[in-house]
Amino acid sequence: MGTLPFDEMGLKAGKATFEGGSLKVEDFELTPSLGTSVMVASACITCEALNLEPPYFVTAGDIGDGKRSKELYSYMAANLGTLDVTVLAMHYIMPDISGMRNILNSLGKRREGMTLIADAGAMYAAKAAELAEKIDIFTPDAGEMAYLADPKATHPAYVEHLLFKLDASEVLTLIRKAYESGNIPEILLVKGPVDYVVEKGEVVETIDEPSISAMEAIGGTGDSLTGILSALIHGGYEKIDACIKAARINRVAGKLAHPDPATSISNIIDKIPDALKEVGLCA
Amino acid sequence: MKILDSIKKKLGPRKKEALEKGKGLIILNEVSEAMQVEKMLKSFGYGVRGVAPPPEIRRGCDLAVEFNLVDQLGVERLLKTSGLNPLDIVALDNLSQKPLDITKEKDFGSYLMVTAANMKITVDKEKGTIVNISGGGCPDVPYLAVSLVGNRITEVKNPGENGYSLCAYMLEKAYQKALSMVKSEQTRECT
Repeated sequence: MGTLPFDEMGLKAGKATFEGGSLKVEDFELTPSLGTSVMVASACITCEALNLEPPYFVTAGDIGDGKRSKELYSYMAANLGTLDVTVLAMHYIMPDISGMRNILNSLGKRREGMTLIADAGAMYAAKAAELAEKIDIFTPDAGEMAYLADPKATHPAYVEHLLFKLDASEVLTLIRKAYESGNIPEILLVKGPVDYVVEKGEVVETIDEPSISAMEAIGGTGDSLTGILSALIHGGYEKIDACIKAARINRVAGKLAHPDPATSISNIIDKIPDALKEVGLCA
Repeated sequence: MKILDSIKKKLGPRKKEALEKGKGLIILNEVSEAMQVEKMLKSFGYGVRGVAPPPEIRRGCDLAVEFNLVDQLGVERLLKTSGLNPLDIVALDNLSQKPLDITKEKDFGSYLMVTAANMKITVDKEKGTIVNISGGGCPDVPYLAVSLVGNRITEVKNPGENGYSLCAYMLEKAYQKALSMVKSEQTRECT
């Protein structure tokens, strides 16, 4: 679930498909760019390559005033009980503490057997609501890691200067601080020059190859990672294993696109099928 | 112009009284309203800044406007005449906290990336074109990215003019830093 940047678009829910560079849900079609559209398109591509059912996409148009974000929170809280959900990936949305609380409260017993992933605005909301422990996996970058490490911050904009100033090589310090706060999921997939897979505060794997420095500048590379991760868990991969594989697949897709800092994310997600083959997940 | 100057003078901040008496906080309903109030008050010469509101009334992506309490009457009058209705105006003690005002820069050779909190903007140094926007989590970031990417940084509208959220607030800071660096690069080339 997540918003799309179209003012006129009302709430939509249905199977998402990705064909010929276009993401489709219900009667709406768009070319993926930074944000939820890249996350869902990447999940579609991964699901198709692994012969899995495509993702079910719940979205609404919001250009930042937050009105349809509220509708989306409400819809999810009211309808999650009727959907057959294995993985719920929550993405770009206006952070809203009560909206996130309502979604998580609506799950009840259905929470068992469901994997919850939060990235972007949904991750900010879960942390600000002090409900991060209710989520299974966060996928922050270094800047967002500083936010998670600051117990007082309710948005990455309000992070303590000292934490923001820490170099990317000091991400481990931020991870430690975040787990000290207690308001953090069991698993983190921290994306950056080195990707860290963290379980209960311990780094269980680091992924730094292939190393493509331009990826940091390309909008959407974190979104594609979340989409791939969601599809792998839906496909039956255990959560930690899925994090490790998703990080590798995303990096290989980047390598295959031969990017520079001006490359579009669409060139990278096109390479996901080849990346899945290269890491041995499909023939 | 004379009328406007007269209004600004009348409603503007009093200079002679001590500013250290304390700060006040304008609590608004939405981040977009807070950004509007901050911009409007600055245009009238008030020393204001966006800060986090008190925790008990935060709703997640909140922004309030800090001002000098000595200016309260003029500020309230301006808000009223501008049709802006704050939820509350409170005296602030030691509660102040402000959005990050520092940026980080990374040089990719032909490209420059500026990071502000969770937002990144990357520009082609020679052409001055915005080539990528990355990060964020609020819904206006993908919306702003569409209008910014592919265009010259000197010719686009400031993200702060079209954005609503704190992510847009930080994108504006990254944008301003990148803009100043591109301009200084271009000035250096001309001389």
